[in-house]
Amino acid sequence: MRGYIEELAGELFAGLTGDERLLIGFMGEDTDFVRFNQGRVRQAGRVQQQELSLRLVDGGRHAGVDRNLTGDRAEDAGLLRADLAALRETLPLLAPDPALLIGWEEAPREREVAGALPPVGEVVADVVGAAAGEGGVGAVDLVGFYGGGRIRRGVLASTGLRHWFDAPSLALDWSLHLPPRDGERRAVKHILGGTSWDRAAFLQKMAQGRAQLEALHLPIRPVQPGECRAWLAPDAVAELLYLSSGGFGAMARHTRSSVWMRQIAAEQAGQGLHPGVSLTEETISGLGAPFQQDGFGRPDRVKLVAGGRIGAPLVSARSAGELGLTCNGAGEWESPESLEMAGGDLPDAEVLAAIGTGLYVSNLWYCNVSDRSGGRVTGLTRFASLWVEEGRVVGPVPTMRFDDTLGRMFGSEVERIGARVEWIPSTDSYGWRSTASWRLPGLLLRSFRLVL
Amino acid sequence: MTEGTFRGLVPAGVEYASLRIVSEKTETVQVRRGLLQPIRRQEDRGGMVTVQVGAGVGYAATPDLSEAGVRAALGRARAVAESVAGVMLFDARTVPRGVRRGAYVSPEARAWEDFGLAARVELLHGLAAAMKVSERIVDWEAFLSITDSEMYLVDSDGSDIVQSSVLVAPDLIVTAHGNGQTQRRSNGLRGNCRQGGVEVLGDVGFMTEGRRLAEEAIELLEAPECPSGVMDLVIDADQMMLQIHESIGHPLELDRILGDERNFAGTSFVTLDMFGTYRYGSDLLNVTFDPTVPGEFASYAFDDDGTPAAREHLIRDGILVRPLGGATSQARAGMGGVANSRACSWNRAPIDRMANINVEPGTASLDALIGSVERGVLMKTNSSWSIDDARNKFQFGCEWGRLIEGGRLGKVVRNPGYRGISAGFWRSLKGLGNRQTVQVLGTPFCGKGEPGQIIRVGHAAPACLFGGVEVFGGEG
Repeated sequence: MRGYIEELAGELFAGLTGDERLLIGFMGEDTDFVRFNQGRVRQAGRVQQQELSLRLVDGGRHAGVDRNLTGDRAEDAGLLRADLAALRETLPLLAPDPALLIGWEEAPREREVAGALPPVGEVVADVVGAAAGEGGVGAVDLVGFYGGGRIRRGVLASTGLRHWFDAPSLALDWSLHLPPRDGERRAVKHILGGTSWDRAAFLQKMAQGRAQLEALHLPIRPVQPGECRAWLAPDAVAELLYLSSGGFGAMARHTRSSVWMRQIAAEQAGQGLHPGVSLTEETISGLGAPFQQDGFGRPDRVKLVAGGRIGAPLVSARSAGELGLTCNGAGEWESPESLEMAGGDLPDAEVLAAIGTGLYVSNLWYCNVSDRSGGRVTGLTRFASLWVEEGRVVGPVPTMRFDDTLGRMFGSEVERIGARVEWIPSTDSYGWRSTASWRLPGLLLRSFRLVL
Repeated sequence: MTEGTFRGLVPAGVEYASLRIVSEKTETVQVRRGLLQPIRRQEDRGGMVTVQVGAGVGYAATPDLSEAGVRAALGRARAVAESVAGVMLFDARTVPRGVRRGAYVSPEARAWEDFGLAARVELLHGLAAAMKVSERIVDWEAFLSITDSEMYLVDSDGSDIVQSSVLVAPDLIVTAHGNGQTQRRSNGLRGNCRQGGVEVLGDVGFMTEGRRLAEEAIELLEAPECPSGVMDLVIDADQMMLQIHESIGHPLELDRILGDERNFAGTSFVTLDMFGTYRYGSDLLNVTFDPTVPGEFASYAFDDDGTPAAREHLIRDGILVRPLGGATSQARAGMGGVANSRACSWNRAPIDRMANINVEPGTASLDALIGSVERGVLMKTNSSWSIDDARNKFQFGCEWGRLIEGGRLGKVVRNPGYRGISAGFWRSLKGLGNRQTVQVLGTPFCGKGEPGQIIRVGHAAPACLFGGVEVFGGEG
């Protein structure tokens, strides 16, 4: 594929005239997908897609087009030549862009990961077999999604800039369910991701999930709205940060739209987050491309929160151009892709005892900002969330809604931080499969506000 | 590729095959903080091949629509179908089919060709500038995206369908900052989306609303917080869109009810046995699946399986009568549904989606709704949405609110929000606005499915009055 893209790009570069410059972005993926319900296959198929983005720049004017490729050399080349001609006709209609910033002279970045994924049939056989109870453990209601195949990204420019990323990637995202009781869902959730299929790890997680389901056979423990102690497991912390991490972007901060603005103001008054909270965009250990679409390389790491104090923002090329900043490798949305949070000192084995009496939240769901100026977010418990009394699980809780501030959940109410940092690959597949992955610990909160 | 050509490519031994080609061209213009953002054109074209062999179904998406490309995709889909036939959730042979032929063209009074890029850029610069009414305005944006979308479906039974739509997404967004507050006013989730031509811009107020939105954002900076308590709530049409979407549309999706989405988008508090008897709302509540409304964002004549689309009641006089399920889900559930098997593009397989889900209007004017409230709040334009995985416990926030006291509008309040439980909330509907209060809205941002699909939906609704709602404000 790389040779094909280089050929198409070379032909376009050769057709440039005068002071024209051309930036070409590439996205490609092959995906085997399988959806499971009740331990069987609901839908399965294969998707092949490649897209080139052309951005023609001349005298500060620029315009772009995104086109998906057919794979037919002559057809693709003809369409792209026509696109270039259309862009050339568009530029005179536009004024020069004072905020235009492209990494024309950036050093090349490459990440190519060898390896092949297994035939999807092997994964299907393992999943269906495990759900059916092979080995005499009994059938279980499994619902989930497998997506696997190579993912490719590239940036090429007429100035000689060349970035390339090509890696195998897979994720199995599944949940095991008991029949609803009193209208409440009872299920446990797991994700297995990486660059190869690890059957042993899958079977281990399945066994772990079956064991976790046992706790869900206990009677449902009603919980009243109000404040309670709570353990937010790493997946739950991920939901909070997924929602709020766009607030680490330079433009969100400049326009005072970041949900972290209240906290930034509080810092100036001496009220930082918990000193153990440190967040870093850690590209060096992530799964994704080490460059962004405007040609800028991503630094190995950008410290977003250090010792409880909010640090540098993520800066896209656009924000850098508009605000007079330096791009630090962020993409258009200025959200982290390889976020890491430092672990603390609370081992998994001591979590229940540390909760004492309170809520064990395995997953949060559908988080959203409920008061942007106040730094408040809402969301719901999901999957195996449990009530704990005197360090012992009493039973699953009904779905509960929380509405609380980031300043409390990452600051004043943090009692301890989990020692284990969990790797959480993104399973986002809107348009394209994500290459994001996060490493996060859990958080023990003295107080967590439930409202419904 | 003609239907005949496609049939000629289908290999022997395949019981059924279809090819759905989607071709879209989009041009987006955006002026933010006085600067024209990079002009974006997107051209996307490809096909989804579906093959059935025995009980199994396989999909293969390809951008190569040459005969060789489609033949290869048929081979890949066939291999998938054969490999999963023994482990399918349901027997694909039980899904009824038919020969469907027809066409759909969206309305367009004034073609976009008459209003080219230079004119759009000039317009958006003007609209954006009109929102910068004060130094307290810290972000202001005018946005316009136009998409030409074509869908072509042929199958081995002889079906031949072509549908073409022009999809318009205008938006104005303005943010003010001051007094320790950041407040935003907008069209809400690109709510003014329509099918149509240049006339849409006038129809939805795009040319004139910017200054009002900016002034409202500034007013909110100094406004008191919305009070907390249980009270009456008048929801205007642009927030009703979200209320319908989350707590009627999603819970009625039949694939959720059948459990397909339990791992991701979630399930539903609605169960199969509720249809025909369950009281979803008060007698005032009538909800339709209506793909026939001219210009509504998700109007069409056939869904992506080729099922002819027609208006159907989902809730009639408050009673739940019909789910949002396409042909496959209907066969699995053994009940009727609607033509809503849809895919977001050529590279995704169809699943049950909302299309146009509308609340039918009543007889009350907005003044009459407000006049009947002793103490309550009027809320407009969604700013926050969250609902549980069974689509029951919700909490929504709005950009703008106004107190109602003694039947009259009072102060503007900021950060208005409300929460409730779907199963029960709609039964508290006690006032239904008339046709003059209806807005035909939509959004391009409905997410669901694995792999993920973001799809266009339409929602038309009147202003509505609900009693006894838990209302709240911000942190202050």
